Amino acid sequence: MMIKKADQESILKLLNNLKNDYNIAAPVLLKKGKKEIVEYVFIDDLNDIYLDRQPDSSPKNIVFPQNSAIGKDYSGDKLYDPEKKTILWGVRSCDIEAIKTIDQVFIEDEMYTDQSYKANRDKTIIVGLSCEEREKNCFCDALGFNPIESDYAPIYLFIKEDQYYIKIKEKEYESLFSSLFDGDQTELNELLKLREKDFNSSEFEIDIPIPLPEKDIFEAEIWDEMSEKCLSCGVCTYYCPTCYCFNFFWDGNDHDSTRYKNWDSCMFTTYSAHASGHNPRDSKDKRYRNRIMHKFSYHPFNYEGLGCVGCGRCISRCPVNLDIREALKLTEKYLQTKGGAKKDG
Amino acid sequence: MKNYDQITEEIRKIAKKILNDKTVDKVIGFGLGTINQEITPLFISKAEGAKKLVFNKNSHMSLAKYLLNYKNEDVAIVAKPCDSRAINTYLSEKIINRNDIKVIGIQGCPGIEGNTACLECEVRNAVISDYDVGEKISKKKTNQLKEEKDFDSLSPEERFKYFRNEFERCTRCYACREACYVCYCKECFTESNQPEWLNKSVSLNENFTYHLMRAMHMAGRCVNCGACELACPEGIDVRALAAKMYNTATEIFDYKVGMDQKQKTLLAEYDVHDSEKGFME
Amino acid sequence: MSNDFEPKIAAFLCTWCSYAAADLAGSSRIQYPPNIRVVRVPCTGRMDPFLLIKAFNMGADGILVSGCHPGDCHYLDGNLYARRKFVMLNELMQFAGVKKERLNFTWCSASEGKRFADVVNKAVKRVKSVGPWQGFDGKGFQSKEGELISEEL
Ligand code: SF4
Ligand code: SF4
Ligand code: SF4
Ligand code: SF4
Ligand code: SF4
Repeated sequence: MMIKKADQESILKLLNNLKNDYNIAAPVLLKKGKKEIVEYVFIDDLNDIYLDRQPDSSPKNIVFPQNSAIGKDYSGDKLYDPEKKTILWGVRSCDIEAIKTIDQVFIEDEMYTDQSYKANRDKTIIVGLSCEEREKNCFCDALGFNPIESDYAPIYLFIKEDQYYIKIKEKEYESLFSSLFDGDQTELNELLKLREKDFNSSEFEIDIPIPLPEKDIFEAEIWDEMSEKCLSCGVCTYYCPTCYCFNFFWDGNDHDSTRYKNWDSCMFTTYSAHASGHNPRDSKDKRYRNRIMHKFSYHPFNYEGLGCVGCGRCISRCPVNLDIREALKLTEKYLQTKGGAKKDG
Repeated sequence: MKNYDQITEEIRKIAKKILNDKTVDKVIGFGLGTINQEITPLFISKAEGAKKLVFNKNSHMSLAKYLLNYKNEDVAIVAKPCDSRAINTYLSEKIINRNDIKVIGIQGCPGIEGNTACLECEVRNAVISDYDVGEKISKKKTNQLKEEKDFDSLSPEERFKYFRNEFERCTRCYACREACYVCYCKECFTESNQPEWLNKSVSLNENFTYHLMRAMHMAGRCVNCGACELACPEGIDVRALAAKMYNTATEIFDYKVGMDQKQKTLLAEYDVHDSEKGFME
Repeated sequence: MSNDFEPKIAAFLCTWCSYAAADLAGSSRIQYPPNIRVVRVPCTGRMDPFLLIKAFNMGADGILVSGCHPGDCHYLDGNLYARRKFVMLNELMQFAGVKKERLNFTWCSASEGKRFADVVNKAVKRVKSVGPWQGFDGKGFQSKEGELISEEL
């Protein structure tokens, strides 16, 4: 492990040099109509990097873009050069854990490896960013994740005002940062201690068995209540860093057609529609149940960890403010009162 | 004109009363969300819950759509003037029963912050209402929007560019569709694959097509409420095309959507002397 | 824009009047340009306006819609319903930035072979005057031969 220390200016200089050999993707503040949205994009001008708050869209856009044409470049972005590796800059703990979740499914799964996803991931270097404070919508620590640092990123940034501490955990990346001054471990430790204190208290706490016991709650009456206001749009799943459902489409005309892999959303009415016309999830409570169950029951059952990392984007971006925390609370209450709660994970 | 707090008080009072005397089983209204400034639809079935109802400058959702979840149940709904027109349209399309619903109509709507539609609103009073809240104000077309965003002064190329820029960002999450009261189709054209109106991959060509087609379905049905625009997570000017349809219906056919529950929708009738504006001679 | 641009125009003709008019133009040997690709529809009232949007989506340089004259509809009032839709669609497309020359709506009765030829002539001239359609994304369309048909808007 190596610790480096630098100010904003030398970081920008460093990135500017790295830009020649790497694609750089980082959060950028974009003006979209009347909204100001922070989103991960491939960037050219490094001054655009914006790390002041949790990005509104997740880095899923980079590692697993909405549209990818099969047999063509993984990302259609103009600034993306498939010959180069990609540095994914300033990813917060929740999003790193989310990439881990997707990796579990697309790479580490025993049955099947998604080769194009894997090739893209092999070319991606995640540079983590330690969180300073909890935002209104996030609750990663309540789910047992550590907002200050995630183990899944080989490089981690700790920023205090203008000062960057860089922790490089893997030898192969040390050379990237060799131009910077060495940092002091104790100084960093002190910073971390302070941060831990800031994160100590959480308004939201949850105590549910993981994986959620499907047989106890599948038929429960809570789902209707939870999803009453849901519109069945795709926002929560499109902006969720861990939702990875996709579908294949042929697009084009007689002369030119391409096979695409596109995000899909379990909140869409047609997601589970059969060709026969039958739809096992024909109402929004069933669809919402699937979303919760996938994240807290099926994923933990089939892989490890959770399918939700508590980033809260589904809360802040949902057009009707349907709060997944309230849904979890309802589940918790139901399990406790029905006596179904027992810890088995 | 009464302010948000006064209207909130009146809504609570009425909700409490009609839940208490069992006039309705449920009241659909607005409540406070879990994040600052957020508002969320609220479904109240006990009189004690009525105090959670609010109406404030962020109450942008079109609640009318939730009526479809409670067909044949006695429900009351808080309706802004635009939503009341949506309810009228539902009644005229005969998908809900007048007897099943009670409308808590907001008279003299103070408007919704950040909703450009309110700048164009010429109704301002609920057009269908069982319980009035607020007080009626005289209708006035403000048209402040024109000063902000005047499409008429732009050339076709400029407008084309503007819309391309907007629709480029669309992720086709369909929040705009789901937020709109009009869109209750069992199978939307976007999902149909026989015929396949729309390719499913997300590209500017398809996004633009989606928005044109959606706007075409809004013709004579859009009540210009702005819910679609405020639902869009990408801040896209979704309402512009639908609003064009809304305004065209008024200008060319002198048609105002949802002003009466007996009114037929624009494209469901004709007049022998209809305009042929834009036809080749 | 090059002068030898030959537009492709999707022409939707109702089977009772305008399609018959096209037939009559043919059998009376009245010349009209071969740029239209005719789609025969039972009645303009049967036409979903989406068909016209889809035509642009798939690369038609322009559209032509022709039905029976108002009052002459084989199904009494199909074209009267259609008329409203077309007026709305026309306004919408122009508002979104599609040039009005690409959108051609008219009526032709079965006896108007000459008029039909005139209409096609005029529509072709109109579409020619605004050049090839580049798609909603401005990227152009791949022609059959695989070469990009055209340059900027
Ligand atoms: S974003 Fe909200 S309204 Fe849309 S599907 Fe998700 S929970 Fe439902
Ligand atoms: S479900 Fe919501 S909180 Fe959980 S990871 Fe997805 S967007 Fe974040
Ligand atoms: S809500 Fe916005 S991003 Fe979603 S489909 Fe509509 S316009 Fe596109
Ligand atoms: S399309 Fe019209 S009616 Fe529908 S949400 Fe938008 S403004 Fe409201
Ligand atoms: S866009 Fe059209 S087809 Fe789709 S739901 Fe709305 S009205 Fe129905």
